[in-house]
Amino acid sequence: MAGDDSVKEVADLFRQHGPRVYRRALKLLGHPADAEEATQDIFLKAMKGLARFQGKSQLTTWLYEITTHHCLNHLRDLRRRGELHEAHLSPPAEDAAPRAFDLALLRRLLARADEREAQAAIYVFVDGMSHDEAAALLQVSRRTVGNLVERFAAAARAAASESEGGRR
Amino acid sequence: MSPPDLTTLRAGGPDCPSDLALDRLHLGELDAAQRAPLELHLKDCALCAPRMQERVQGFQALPQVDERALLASLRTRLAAQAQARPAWWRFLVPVAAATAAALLAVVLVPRTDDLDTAALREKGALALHVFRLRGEKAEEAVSGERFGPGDRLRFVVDLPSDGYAAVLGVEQSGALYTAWPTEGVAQTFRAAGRHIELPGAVALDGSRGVEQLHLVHCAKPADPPACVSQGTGQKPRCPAGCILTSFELDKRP
Repeated sequence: MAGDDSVKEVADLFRQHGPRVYRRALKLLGHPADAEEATQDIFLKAMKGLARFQGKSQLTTWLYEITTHHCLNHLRDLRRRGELHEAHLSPPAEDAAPRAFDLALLRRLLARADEREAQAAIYVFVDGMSHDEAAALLQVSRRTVGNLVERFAAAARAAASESEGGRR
Repeated sequence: MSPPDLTTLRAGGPDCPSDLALDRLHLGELDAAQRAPLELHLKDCALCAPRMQERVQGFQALPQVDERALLASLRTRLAAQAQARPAWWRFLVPVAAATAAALLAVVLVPRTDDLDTAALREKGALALHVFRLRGEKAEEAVSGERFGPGDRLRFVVDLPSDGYAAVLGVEQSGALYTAWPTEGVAQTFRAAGRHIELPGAVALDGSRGVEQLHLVHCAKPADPPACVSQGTGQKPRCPAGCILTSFELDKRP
């Protein structure tokens, strides 16, 4: 059972990394309740795998990977259950940021994109990473990142024109 | 629909550092050569100053998030996960970790696909929150925390469905007792919901050792449910239709 040391370890890790995990999850999932749930799930995974890590410098990037993977899975689950459109297409009323609607559309695209393309798109478009930074996380070349995000952007354009065509 | 403008989704401008770069800067994970250009950028960038500030503020920059409740819920889930593992597994994990550490000089970043998702909680899962009363204040306690004789506890629960709640304790000796409902509480039915306060408080006796509290939630009326102790450290056996979650008390003087 959790002793004093592990209790403190969880608290320290959570206070240090919890806000950034929550913020990213909120951006990717769009709703505070989902983001809170995801933050807990992500820390459960992190605590399980923490023993495998020796360097603090890898922890942040590792949490980025877990968060990305978890949120993508969540968006895909919502899409499979048909809930993504209703729950996440419209940004929450309190989210008045100009990009909120674009983020809502992005979630729909992420839910059906190829996994590597979706991951690259999140790192580059949402997190603002350079292709070099994203390449390090994805363990691919910079050029591959460029190809992945270009394919994602093309899929976004195609989805938009399909939708336009469907309305006519 | 129009395609989203992918270039405007990120925080900061197109030439600003990424969120990851700022996170690593904030956590002191960068060497001097990596830090210098970022610090130079931050000096003059009006867009990045608030981005850095929210990192410094941590949860204070997220007033909509109840940090304590979130952490307490996480601890409850970690404790439940630890209790769910068989005894041999608890022994095996440190042995395996030590062996692996000796063999591997290089730390490999695991693929997140490998991570176990089986234990992930469904939304609205059963949860027991234990609060220790200190004067006028109630502080949420953590499973596994130390408690002393005379500590007064109150319970707050999350219930996934309507049903009948009870909190049972298993002493170090294996004896089962009812911690809630306390005397004078007649109604144990509670509608589904989160953060449901159970009325009354219990005072811990002078016995020492590790005890478990089990929130028992039954679909059918049960005051309290007819559960049977399986010994210390084990969940009691309860009637069909009841579900349990546990909390551990380390009772020391």
